[in-house]
Amino acid sequence: MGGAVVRGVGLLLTLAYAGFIGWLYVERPQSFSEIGGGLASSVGLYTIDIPKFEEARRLFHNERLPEARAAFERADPARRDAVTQFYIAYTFYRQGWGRFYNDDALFEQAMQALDRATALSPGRPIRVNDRSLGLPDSDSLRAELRHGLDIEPEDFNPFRAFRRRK
Amino acid sequence: MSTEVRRALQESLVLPALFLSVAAAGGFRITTRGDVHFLTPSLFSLILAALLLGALVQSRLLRPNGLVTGRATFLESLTGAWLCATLFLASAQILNGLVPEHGLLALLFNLFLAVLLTNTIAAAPDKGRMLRSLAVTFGWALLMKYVLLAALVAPDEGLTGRLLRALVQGATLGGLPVDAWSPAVGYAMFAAAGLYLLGLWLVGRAETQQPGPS
Repeated sequence: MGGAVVRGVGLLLTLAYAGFIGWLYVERPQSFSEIGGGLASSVGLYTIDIPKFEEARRLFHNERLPEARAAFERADPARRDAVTQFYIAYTFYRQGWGRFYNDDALFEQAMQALDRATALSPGRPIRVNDRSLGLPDSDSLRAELRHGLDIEPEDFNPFRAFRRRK
Repeated sequence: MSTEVRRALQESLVLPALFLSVAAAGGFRITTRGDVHFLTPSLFSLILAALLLGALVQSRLLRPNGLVTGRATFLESLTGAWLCATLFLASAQILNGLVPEHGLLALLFNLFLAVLLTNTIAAAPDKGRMLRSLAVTFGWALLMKYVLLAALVAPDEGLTGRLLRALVQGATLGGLPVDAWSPAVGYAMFAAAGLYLLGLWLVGRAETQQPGPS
């Protein structure tokens, strides 16, 4: 009887361990903090660093975009918070936006950050209650980034120089 | 602790956990910048793992009949099958970790391991010789990939790297397509290879102590 209990418990424990390893290979976290954050997130224990997040938003509103991005990264080191990742995408968008042409490399990075953000919020767009954002949800930001990355007839319109950054 | 409980503990917890750890470590890579990667086994690694399991069965180091069929209860058969599955995963991942990730060198390493394993099957060694053969194979593969090839692509090349580069430049038309991993990967793979061999030794020892039907 003792042997059967040990076998049952051992089987369950190793199946759980195999599940964890399978999660690592499916999710492919890219740093040890992402592994820790992913695990904490899966049991509902992960939270971002709120003071660092607020500091990052202050820098963002003051147009100090690279510093804001670094602060957002520090607030969400495991990259598990959709809103923080959305803001990171937004910092790339604002930094890459240009009146005559956009920086495609920064827009690509914005798209990657936005993909991370939307992957964390499956099935519904991310909405951020921030009046300073001209594009307050993930769908409109994605559309704006696509317009920026694609070459369209509108790109050759001289009045384009009068458009405003969102 | 009774023999039955000890065997149950080993078959259902210790050995599967050990082999799963080896499977996890086999695909683990970390770059010199600290980026972590988890690589799944290639198709060639899975084929090599099947060959390796064939060699283990032939040397009677692993006896699926004693582990899976012919057991007293369904749970014993289930844990035996689970142990075999984890051993297969560990074999695939340890072989995946011992060969370069891509390019001509990966093909050459894989072919070399395939020849070695089929030769081992043909030679039909006993348990002890099988373990020694595997230890030597793993040792050389570790030395080749994580010492010699790693020295060739290391950013701060030492004397070994300079000597090897001088030799290789004469033999190849260009650089070698080898990824530059952190030295920690070599240590992790060394530990994984050691754990894998320890696990195989434990499997063989358990079979000797309580042989099942062959």
